[in-house]
Parts: sequence; structure tokens; C-alpha cells
Amino acid sequence: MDFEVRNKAMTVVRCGFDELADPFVDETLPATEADSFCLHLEGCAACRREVNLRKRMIVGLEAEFRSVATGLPQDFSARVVGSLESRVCGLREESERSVFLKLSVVLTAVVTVMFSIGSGAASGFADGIPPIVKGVLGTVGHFVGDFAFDSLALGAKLAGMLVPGPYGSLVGLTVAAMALAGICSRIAVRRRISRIKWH
Amino acid sequence: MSTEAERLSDVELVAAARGGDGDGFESLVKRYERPIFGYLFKMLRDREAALDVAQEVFIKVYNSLDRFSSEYRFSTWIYRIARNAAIDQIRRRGNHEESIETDDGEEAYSLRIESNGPSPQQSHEAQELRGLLDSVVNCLPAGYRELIVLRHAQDFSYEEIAEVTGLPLGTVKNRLFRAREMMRDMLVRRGFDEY
Repeated sequence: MDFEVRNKAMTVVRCGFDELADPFVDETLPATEADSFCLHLEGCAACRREVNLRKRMIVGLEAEFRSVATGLPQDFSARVVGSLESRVCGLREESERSVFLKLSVVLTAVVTVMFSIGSGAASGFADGIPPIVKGVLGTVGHFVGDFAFDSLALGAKLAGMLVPGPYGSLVGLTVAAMALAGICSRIAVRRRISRIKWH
Repeated sequence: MSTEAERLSDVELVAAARGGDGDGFESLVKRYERPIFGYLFKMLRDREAALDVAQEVFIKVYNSLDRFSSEYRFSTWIYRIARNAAIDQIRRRGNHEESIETDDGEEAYSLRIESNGPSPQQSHEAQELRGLLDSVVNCLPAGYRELIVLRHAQDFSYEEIAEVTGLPLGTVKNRLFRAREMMRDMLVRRGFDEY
């Protein structure tokens, strides 16, 4: 049976010009050659058959390829975006959280020491420090401390105005802190993404 | 995809995504999800693997947006990423016969036709033109199948195919011609004329 079918394929009548059928159907044959081949087709049944065969093959192929894409889930793009978000958050959890934590502890310690020196609370500790260094540290520490307290008071006042009620200040400050954390997180994540190496 | 996003070019969507616009990237995914999935499905011949790799491709695209240069076409760039991901997946499977990078798939083609291809009788029984074409495409060596998919599913020009695959233009033309000849012969053997 196999031999018979193969034999049938070999006995399909082919013309010497039929090698032009492929580029003709693929539309890659130069215009002048395509025109000549069109004229040839009018009088050559073998080439017409060959062109029709190849056209049907290409049209069928394109339809077959189109049907493949129907196997894609409707929510594919949402899945991709969701996966991307979770992967990015995952990266931040692993590599950046500890860095942020260490940096926060160091900064808090430095500001606390400076504020203590500036306010005179650490007189015993600050005795050995030269007066000029003590003066600079104290001034900066006092300024940072005052700025932090004033900002907090201002934030609470604004939050109290925006969110009425007995706990307005607290709710408003919490919302503001969450928004600030969200913005910082977004900045940090974008910085992290830009550093990801594509292997 | 919103009509506004549909009007934007690939480069504009890339710029929006780079600027932190998540919708811009999602629009790009929606624009390319079907062709990329179709390409990967044809290359890997496994729906689940194609879905996983397609997802991986879009994540790589997102992570590499900063390196995309607008002097290149986004479509060829994303296909290059998809191609590399497909090659990695095939390597992971450890199927050497499926190598896309093969220089000449003629031998693999002959072997597969003789040993594994469905018989002409089976094809007649299936009575499905689409199924017949699918089986013929699957019989092509991976390196040839890839070019056929890029040309006839994605409608890429020969130059674009050369850009995606990194093959010389002459090789692309030659392989596409040979691939179509192989398909034509297989289809005639399986009674394509009778459909």
C-alpha cells in the first residue's frame, strides 16, 4: 500500500516550469517572471494543478496555525502580569528586605545619638568629644529630631482635618504611612527590576 | 485591549511600560500572546509546555525592556527571545532529534517519514485537512518547521526571519523552499489532492 501511494506521488505530471510555482504562490517571484508564469499557466494544466495544490496547502496551513492560538486561556495576560508581580515581590523579599532593615537600624542609631548629644541627654558620653564636633553633631541631631517631631505633629493635624472623628488623626496617619510605604516599595521594586539580568 | 492601546505602536507601548505603566505592558502581552503561543506550540508540540514557556518569554521581555532599542522591530526582538526559550526547553527535554539549530534536517526528515509518520491510510481515515497539515508540519525537522511557522503563521518576511533566527538570508530562502517541497511531497503521498 505504501509503495502504491508513493508511486502515485511520483506519477503526478509535472512541467519543467513548475519550480516557479513555489515562489509564485509565496509571492517572492519578481514581477516580470510572475507575469510570464501567469501566461504560462493559462496553457499548462500541470502547472495550474501545482499552483492550486500549493495555494491550498498555504491557505490550509495558515488556517491550521490560526486554530492553534484558540488553545490559549482567556486570562493568559492576567496570569503573566500576576506572575510578574509575585516574582518581583519575591525578589524583593529575598534580597532587599535585609538591606533596608540594616540601613534603617543604622540611620535610627545615628540620629538617636546625634539627638542625644544635641539635647544634652548624653552628657556623660559626650564629655570626651571635642566641643566643635559636639556642637555640629548636636545642632544636626537637634534639627533632625525637631524636624521629625514637627512633621509628625503636622501630619497628625492634617490627618485630623481630613478624617473627622475621635480617631481621625490616627486613621489619617496610618493611611498616609501606608501610601508612603507603597510609593517607596514601588520605587524600590522598579530599581530592582532594572537591575535584573536576563540570562 | 482598549482601543487607545490598540492605536499605539509597539515602540510606544514599550516606552509606556518602561515608564512604569503596567497597562502598557499588559497591552503588549495581549498583542503578542496568541502569535507567541502559536509559535511555541508548534515548536514544542506540547500545549502545557508552550503555555509555561510563553509566560517565561513575557517575563523575560519585561525584565529586558530597558535593553530594547527602538531601532529594531519589537516583533523580531520578542520572537528572538521566544526562540531562545524554545531552544532551552528542547535542550532541557534532552531531545536531540528536535534541535532547531540543526544545519540540515534532511536526514531526520527521511527517518521520521519512514518510521514514525502516520500511514497514508490513517490520514485518509482522519478526513481532516487540518489534521493532515498539522501532521505534515510536525514531520518536518524542527529547524525547517520553525521557518514555516514564522513565514506562514506569523507572516514574517524572509529578512525578518533571518533577523529572528540569525541565519543568513540565503539559508532562510533555501530552507523554506525545501520545507515547502517536503510538505508538498508528503501531502501528495497522503492524498491531499483528494480533499
